[in-house]
Amino acid sequence: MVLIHKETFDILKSCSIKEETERYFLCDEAIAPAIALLNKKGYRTAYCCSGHLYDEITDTLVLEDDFQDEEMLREVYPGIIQIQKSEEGLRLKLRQNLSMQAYVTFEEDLDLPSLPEGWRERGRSIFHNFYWDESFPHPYAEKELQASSPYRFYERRLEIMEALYNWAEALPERDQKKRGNKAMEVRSSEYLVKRKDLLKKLVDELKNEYRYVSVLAMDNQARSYRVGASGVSAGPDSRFTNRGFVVRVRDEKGYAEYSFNHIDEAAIPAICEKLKKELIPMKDEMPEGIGFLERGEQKDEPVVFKGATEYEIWPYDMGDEKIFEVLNQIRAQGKAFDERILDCNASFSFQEIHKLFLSPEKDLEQNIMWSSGSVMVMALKGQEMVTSYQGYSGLSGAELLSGMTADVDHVAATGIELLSAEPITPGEYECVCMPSVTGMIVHEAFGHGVEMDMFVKDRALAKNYIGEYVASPLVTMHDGAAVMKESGSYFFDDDGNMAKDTVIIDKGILRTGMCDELSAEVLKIPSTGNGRRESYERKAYTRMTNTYFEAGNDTLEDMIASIDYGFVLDQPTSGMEDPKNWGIQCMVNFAREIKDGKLTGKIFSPIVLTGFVPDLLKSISMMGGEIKLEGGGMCGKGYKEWVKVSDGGPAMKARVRLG
Amino acid sequence: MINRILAGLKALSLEDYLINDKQTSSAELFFVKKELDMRRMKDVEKVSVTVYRTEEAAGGKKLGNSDALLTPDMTDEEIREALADAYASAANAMNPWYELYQGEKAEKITEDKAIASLSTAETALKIAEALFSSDTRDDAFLNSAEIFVEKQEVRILSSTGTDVSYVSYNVNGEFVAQCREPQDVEQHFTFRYDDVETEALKAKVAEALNTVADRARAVKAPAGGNYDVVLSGENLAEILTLYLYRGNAAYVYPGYSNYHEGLNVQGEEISGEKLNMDLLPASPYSDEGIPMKRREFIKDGILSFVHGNDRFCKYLGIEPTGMYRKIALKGGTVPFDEMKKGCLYPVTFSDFQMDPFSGHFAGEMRLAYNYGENGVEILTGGSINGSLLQKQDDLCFSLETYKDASYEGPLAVKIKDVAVAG
Repeated sequence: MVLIHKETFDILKSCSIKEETERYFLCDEAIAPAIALLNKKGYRTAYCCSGHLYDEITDTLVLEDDFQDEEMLREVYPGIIQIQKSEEGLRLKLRQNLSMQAYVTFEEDLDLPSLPEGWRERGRSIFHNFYWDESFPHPYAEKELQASSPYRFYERRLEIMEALYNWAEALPERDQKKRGNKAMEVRSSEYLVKRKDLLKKLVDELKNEYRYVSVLAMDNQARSYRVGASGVSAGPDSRFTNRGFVVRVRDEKGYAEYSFNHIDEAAIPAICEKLKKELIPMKDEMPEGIGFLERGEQKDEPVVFKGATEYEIWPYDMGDEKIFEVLNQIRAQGKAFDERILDCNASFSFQEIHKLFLSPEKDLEQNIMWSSGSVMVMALKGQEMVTSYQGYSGLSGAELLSGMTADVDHVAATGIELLSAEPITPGEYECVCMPSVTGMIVHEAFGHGVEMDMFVKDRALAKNYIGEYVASPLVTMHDGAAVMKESGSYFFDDDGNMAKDTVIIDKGILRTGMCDELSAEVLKIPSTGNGRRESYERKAYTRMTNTYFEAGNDTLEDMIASIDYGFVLDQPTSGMEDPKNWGIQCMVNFAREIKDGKLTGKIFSPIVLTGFVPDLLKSISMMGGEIKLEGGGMCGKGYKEWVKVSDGGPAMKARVRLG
Repeated sequence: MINRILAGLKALSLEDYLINDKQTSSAELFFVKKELDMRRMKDVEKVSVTVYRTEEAAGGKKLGNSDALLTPDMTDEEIREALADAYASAANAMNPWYELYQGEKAEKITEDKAIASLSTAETALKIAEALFSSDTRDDAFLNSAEIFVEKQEVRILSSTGTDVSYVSYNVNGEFVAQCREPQDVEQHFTFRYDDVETEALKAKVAEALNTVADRARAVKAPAGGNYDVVLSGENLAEILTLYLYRGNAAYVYPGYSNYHEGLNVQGEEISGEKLNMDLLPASPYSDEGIPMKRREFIKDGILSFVHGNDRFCKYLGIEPTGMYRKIALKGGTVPFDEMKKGCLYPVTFSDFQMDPFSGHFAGEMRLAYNYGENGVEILTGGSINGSLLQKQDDLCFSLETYKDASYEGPLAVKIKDVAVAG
C-alpha cells in the first residue's frame, strides 16, 4: 500500500506511515498512479481496489442485475459469504483472496466520455472482473486457480491497471466548476474541531471567575508561490499561517488577554493559573497616576453560527506544478515583451481561515478562503529600477490565476514607458484617479480616520464631523466584511460580532465610523463588527474590511475630456493615515499627462499625493460607473498589526496636490 | 519538540534540513491617556523546518526547499505529514544547487543584561513608569501608548552541523504625543530597545512632547521649490537602508543591484563626505545559524563586501554572512546647528520612505523647520521627493550622534537641491 495526499494527490514515495491519516489515504500500489491521476484531473475517487491474491479479509462485490439467480451466483462465485440486495444492485460479500475484481468508485455521478479497455461501468463505479488466465471458466474457478502460476495473476493485473492508467491519461481535465457544492465550500478545520470541547471546558473554568470570558481559536493556513530572477519558491506563508488561541477575560479593572498555542486537558489549569497569578495582577502594579479605562458591559448574547465561503478551484487540487505553470507562463510573457525588461516576477498566495469563537453564550465557526496574486515588471534606468505591477485578489481559490495572464503585456508596456518618466512639477492639478488610486484615498485618507478606536483616544478629527458634509455629494462610502466578496470579507469579527455593511458617508455627509467591541463599549454604541487581529498573538483593534466609494454615472473618457491640464493617476504603492489632522500621504507609481482633454503620452514618476482630506473629497466632481476593488496588499495600524483588506471604487475626478 | 521533529525527519529519510525553534513569551500594556486599556501576555512556540531536496536534472544538479511550520500541539503523525508535504513541495521549487552552510555547535548565548533578571511583566511595568514620568507638561501630553516586552529563546539546528541557541530580549512600542493649543495636533513615535532603557525612553518622550508643541504652532506649508534638506534620526536611518538593500546578495544575484566588492557606491566623483559604514548584528546568529558580527561594509565610499543569506551568497561565490539590518555610520564633520542654516529641516513625516529599487525618498511633512535668512519658520504639510542616487555624491553629516535599534552614527545629513511640493 502507498499513501496519497488528499489534497495534492501526490503519492508519498518514502514513508513509514501505514494507516490512513488526516491528510493522506491508503491505496493499493498497483492502482495508485491511476488513482492519483484521476483525482488530479478532477475525477474524485471514493474507493478503489486493484484486486488481491492473498488477503484474508472479506470484501464486497456489486453485481449487475442479470446475476439475480442466487444458486447460479454461488456456483460462479464459490467465495461468496453473504448476498444482500441494495440500491446499487446485488452486494456480494466475498473472501477477498478470490475476489479478483479491480474497481474504482467515484465520489459523485460522472458522465464519463469512455471506459478503460475491458472495464465496465455501474453507478459511480467502474470495474473489471478478471481471470488470471483467459481459459478459466470464471474469475473464481478455484481448481483452475490452484493449478496455475500465481505470477500470471500479477501479469493480468498489470495489464488491467495499465489500461486504467492509459484511459485516465486520455481523459480530459474535468471542469472543476461542475463539482458538487460540498467540494466548493471551505471545510472546517479538523484541528479546531478536535479541540473545541477543550476550549469550551476552558471557558467553563473561567466564567465563574471573571465578568466576561471568550476564546478565539484560529487555524489559518496559507501558502505562497513566487517565480522571478531570484528563483522559485513555494511553501507556507508565515505571515498568514497561524494556529493558536487567545482567551479574553474581564475583571473589575478591565480586559486582559492571554495568547497560547498549546492546549490539552493538562494545560487548562495552567492557563487559568497564568491568568490569575501573572496577567491579572499587572493591574495592581501600575505606575502612580495611572487609572483604568471606563467602559460599559459586554453583552454576551446567544448566537450559534457556522458559515463558509465558496471557491471554484481548491488550490491543493490544482497542485504546485500547475500553479507554477501559470506563473512561469506569466514570467516568460513579461520578459519576452521587451529586451529592456530585466525581470518579471509573478506570485500567487492563498489563505484558508478557520476560526471558532466561544463564550458562555456564543458558538461561532467560520471557514474562509481568499487568494491574491501579482505581476511585477522591472526595468533598469541607469542605476534606478523602475517597476510596474498589477495586483489580483478575491474571496476565491486558484481560479484567480486564470485572470492573471490577461494583463501581462499592459503591465510590461507601462514598465517600458516608465523608463522615460520625468519628475513632476509640484503643484495642484485636476486629476483622474483610477479605481485603485480611489481605493487608496478611500482607505488611507478617510477610512483610517473613521476607525472608532481612534475616537476613544481622541485621535480622529472625524469624531467632530458626524452629520456634516465632509465630501462631495457624489460620495457614498461603505465599509463592511459582509458587503463585498473580497479579501476583507468574513462572517464574524475577532470579538465575536457579526459582520455588517456600514455606510460611512452618505451623499457627502459623514454618518458614522466603524467600530470594534471594546471601543463600542467605551463609546456606548453598537459594534459594527470591525474588531480584527493580525493573529491570535495580537490585540484586536478597529480595522477596515472592504472599503469603497459607490459608483456614479460618468465615464473615464468623459473625465479625461473634461480636463484642460492635469493627470491620470495610477498604480498606488503605499499610503499613511493621519486621522487627527486629516493630512494625506499617498505614493503613486505614475501620472499620465492630460492636455486639452487628451492624454499626451507623457508620463511622470514617482508621485507623492498630499493635501487635506475634506478639500480633496469635496473637490470630487465626477464619479465613474464601474466599481473595482483590490485586496492584494495589507493594511497596518501605524507600522504594525497587518491584516488583509480590500478597497476601491470607480475612477473619479478630483483636484489633488502632487509632488 | 525538536526530538519529535528529528524522529519525523528520520522516519521519512529526509537528510537535509534546517530547524528554527522560537519560544516567545511577552507582556504587553495598552494605555489611553493615563488609563490602562488592556493587559496581555503570550506564551507560544513556533518551529520552522526547512526541508531540502536534491535532484539531478538535465541542466545540472538542483536544490529545492520548502518549509513546514510546526506548533507544539501537533501529533507525531501531523509533524511527519507536514514534513512530507514540505518535501513534496520542494520538488516544484527547484533552484540551482549549492552546498548547504556547514555550521557549528556552540553553547547557548545568554547576555548579561538588566532585562535578563526581570520577568517580562516587571520590565513592562518599568517601561510604563519611564514613559509616563516625562508626561508632566501642561500643554503637551501622551495621548496613548503601547508597550511590548518580549523574551525569545531561539535554537537553530541543521543537518550540516549547526546547533546553536541564544536568548534575545526586545522592548518596543509606540506612543502618540498630543498638543491641543493653539491647534489640536498629534505626532506618532516608536521606540525599540534590547534592554530596560528607561533613561533613553524618558528623553525620547520629553523630546516628542517638545516636537508636538512646535507642531501645534505650525500652520503654513513650505513654498514649493528646491531646498537643501536636513534629515535626522530615524529619517536618516531610513535613507541609508538603500545601501543595506543594494548590498544584499538577494538584490545582487537577480540583477536588481550592481553592487560588488570594490564598487564605489557613491560614484567616481565625490564632492561631499565619503561614506564609512559598518553592519551590526541584531542577533548572535542569522536564521540559518551563521554567526553575525560587526563588519566593515563601506570604507571611503567603496563597498567592502556583499552581505546575504547562504543561498544567494553561494550563487555569487562569496562568503555567506547572514542578512544584516543594522547600520553603524562613521564620520560627521559639521555641527548640527551649523548644518541647519539655510536648510529645510523636516523633523516628522506622515511616513518617510526610501525605495531601494528606484533610489527615491519621499514623504509628507508633518513638522518642518525652515532656517532662512529671516529666522526659523515652523511649517507643516507639503512633501519632499528626491533621489539619493543622484544626491549621494554630495552629502555631509553632523558631528552629533544618534542611536536606535537599527542605526547608530551621525544625527543628521544634509542633502542638496531636493524638490519640495508646498
